[in-house]
Amino acid sequence: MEKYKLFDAEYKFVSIIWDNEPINSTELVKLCADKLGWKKSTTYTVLKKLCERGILQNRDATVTSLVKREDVQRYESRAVLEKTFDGSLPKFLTAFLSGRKLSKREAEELKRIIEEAVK
Amino acid sequence: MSSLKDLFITVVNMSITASFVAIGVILVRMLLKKVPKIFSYVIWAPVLFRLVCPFSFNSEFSFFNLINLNAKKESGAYEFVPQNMGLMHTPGIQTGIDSIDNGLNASLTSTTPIASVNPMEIWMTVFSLIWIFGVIALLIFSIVSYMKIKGMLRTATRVDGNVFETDAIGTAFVCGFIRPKIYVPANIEDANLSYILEHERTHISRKDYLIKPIAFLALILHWFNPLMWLCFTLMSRDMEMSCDENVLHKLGDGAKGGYSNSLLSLSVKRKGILTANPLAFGENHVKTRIKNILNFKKPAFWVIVVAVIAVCAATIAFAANPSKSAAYISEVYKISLRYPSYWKLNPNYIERYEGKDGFFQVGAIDGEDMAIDEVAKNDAFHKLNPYGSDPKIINRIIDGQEARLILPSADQAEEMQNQAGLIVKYPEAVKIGDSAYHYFILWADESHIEQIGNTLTFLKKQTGNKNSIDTSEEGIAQLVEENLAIIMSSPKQYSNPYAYIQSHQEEYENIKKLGGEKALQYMLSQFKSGNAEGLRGHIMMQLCKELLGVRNNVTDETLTPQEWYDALSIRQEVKLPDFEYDGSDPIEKLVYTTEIEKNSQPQRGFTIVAPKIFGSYEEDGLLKVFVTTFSATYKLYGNVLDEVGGSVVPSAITYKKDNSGNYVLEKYEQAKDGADWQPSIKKFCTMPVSGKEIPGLADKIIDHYGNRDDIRTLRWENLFKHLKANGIKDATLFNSRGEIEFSMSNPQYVN
Repeated sequence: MEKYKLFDAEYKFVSIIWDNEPINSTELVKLCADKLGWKKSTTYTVLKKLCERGILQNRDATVTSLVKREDVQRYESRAVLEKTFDGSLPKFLTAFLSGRKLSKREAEELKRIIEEAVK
Repeated sequence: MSSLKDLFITVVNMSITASFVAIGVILVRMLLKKVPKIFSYVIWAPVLFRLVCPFSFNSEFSFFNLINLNAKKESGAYEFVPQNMGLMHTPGIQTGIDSIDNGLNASLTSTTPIASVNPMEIWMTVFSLIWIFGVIALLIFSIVSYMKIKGMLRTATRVDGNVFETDAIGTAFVCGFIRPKIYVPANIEDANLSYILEHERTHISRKDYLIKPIAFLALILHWFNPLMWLCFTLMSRDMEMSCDENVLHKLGDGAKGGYSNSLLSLSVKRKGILTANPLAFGENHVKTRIKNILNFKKPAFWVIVVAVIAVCAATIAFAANPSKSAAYISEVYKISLRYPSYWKLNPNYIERYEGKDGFFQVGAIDGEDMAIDEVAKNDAFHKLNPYGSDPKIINRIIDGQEARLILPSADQAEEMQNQAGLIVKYPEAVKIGDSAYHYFILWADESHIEQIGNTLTFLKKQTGNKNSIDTSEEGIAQLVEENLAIIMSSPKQYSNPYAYIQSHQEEYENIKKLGGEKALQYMLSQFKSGNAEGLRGHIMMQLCKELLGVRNNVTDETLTPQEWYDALSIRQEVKLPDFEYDGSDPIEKLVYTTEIEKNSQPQRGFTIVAPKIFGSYEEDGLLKVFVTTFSATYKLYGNVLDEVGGSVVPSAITYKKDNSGNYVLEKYEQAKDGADWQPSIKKFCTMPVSGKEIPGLADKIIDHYGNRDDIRTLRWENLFKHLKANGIKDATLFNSRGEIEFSMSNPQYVN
């Protein structure tokens, strides 16, 4: 059987359901607000999306899973393909890193500098 | 449309000013390489200030004093591009740097006489449209990308408190303006996470998440200025690096290796990513940051002290405009001094100049046979407490003369506007009216008194080439033409007329002060004969406007000189007699007659008096009346009044009954100026013959002086009555701010 791929947030969400199913959807909203810091609307949007993909099911306000933990795989990162840190980040946000990434050679040189400095 | 253009011109002017500051900041920043980066970060503040605020305060200490910009500056804003450029004969821009100006202005052609609008005017409209379009586009782009990020962050899951993680982002950042949250990429190693969080928390506690968007908004406003994009990038880097330093400060030197390794490992490309970004140039910022972290040392105390002082000084110097001063010369008080040129004469006082940030006023004190310390004490501890209850007296030497500075105490009344005093002994007593004065006194707000006081010099006797001025028609023509020629001689390149006047203020004043009415008549004749074109016309128009004052009936400031002259119909002076009392009270009638006689200045205008009578006492055929009189002298030009002088003075008037039973003026005593004011009132509050003190009278007069609205109002009423009695139906008086102070059509007098 083909493996389902989920994003980090989706995986965390489905994990909550595996741990608590069957679960009442109102209960689920409370649980997500508590554990994930999500708003009610976010919870319902993600729930709806995963139901459409056939991963969850929501019948009479009771949510259950349709796939098993072993059949699900996480995406590594959606940001992996970004060439730069701030590919789509507005310039006015204070980001930890910005500009282009380091090449292998540059990285090695820096690594040497750091090692020398903290020796 | 024209308001958009005005806005654009304001922005361009701010941009040019900010560019000068930015270059200065970049230079200072180079000197700050070895000091903590927080200083490099803070020093950007004046650039931001210049980008968003067209005005500034004035200081002798301004950086602009160094580079001596050749631009018109009015009410604190620099004007490199004049607002009325489109209507100028030869349009011009001044950046303050000759080589740039020559290039720029060579591209601006002269106005052809047929076209009413010069080519620059059209271009400015086009540019301002492009500019606003760019601003709107950038704003929309920023908002859209912010919304997009917000959408991506919706499913971020909470790690702890205000920290959220998501796999949708590649680097950590702070997002949100009211309750900012920290977002980090999902699955970051714990070791790295602790450094990132420390870094981002520093951003939040320093409010960087608000400062950066504000700076970015300013950047959007100035998007056309590439230097500002550079500034924004450099400022962002300084912000990051000072943030790094803050983290190390908190975590200690031991964290250097771990922190820089975190930065490194998060910056390395992962497998399968394409070749280097073709847009990348120079040293990578990560490299600079890592080096900065490794070199970080807790700075020595003295380094911090020096840096704090240097940065404060630089910040003030970059933010302030240079202070331009004007000369005040008084032949009456025999002094000259310099004051901020934007202060204006307040017509409600005899000699007082004021602006939003301060004032000065001059006076003289009799003080015969009195030591300067006694004079200073009398003024400082005046019964009305003008300097508060505990003023300080400090010794000074001004222009080689003994002087005393009086500084107010904290409890000084607010309406004194921080008044401080400076008393200087005259080199030799000065005669004003019938009295001799031995001391000069300068009043000014505390923050200006020393600055102005230090410029004080006493006029030497007979300096005057004033008397040697040739007042014949040829002499005046020569005076005007010679000075005009000097004014028009520089700056060399095309420029706006104000720049010429600014660089030759002395010649400009010569025409006004020495030439006066005759110079005005001569220049008007030049307009009449069509000999007033271009720059010459502009400068003469400015001179004529200032000489005409309220007689100028043209208020449209956009007219060309010739158009202005054509529209000009000089308001003719309507000569009026002094005020005449028409009531029946015999004492009032006497007082009005005497006060008019004493205050009348027929050569300057007609005089209105408004006396408040405190009492009259008769003793052995002598009648003594105590009054405080508000007197004001006006000129009427057409339907506009001009206030040329005024005073409020308490006095005691003594009359003698003659054989036919009429009262004849016997003695007129007035309160003296300055420190003698109160004692002089006490002195005259006595019975006419016996000389016995009249109890409570002096206090009543002194108290009333502090709240004299009654006579101010009476003055307006008398003015109204007087104008009406002379058949005037329409007359208006404007104050120095251009607001209506008095109008015949509206008897609800302001004030």
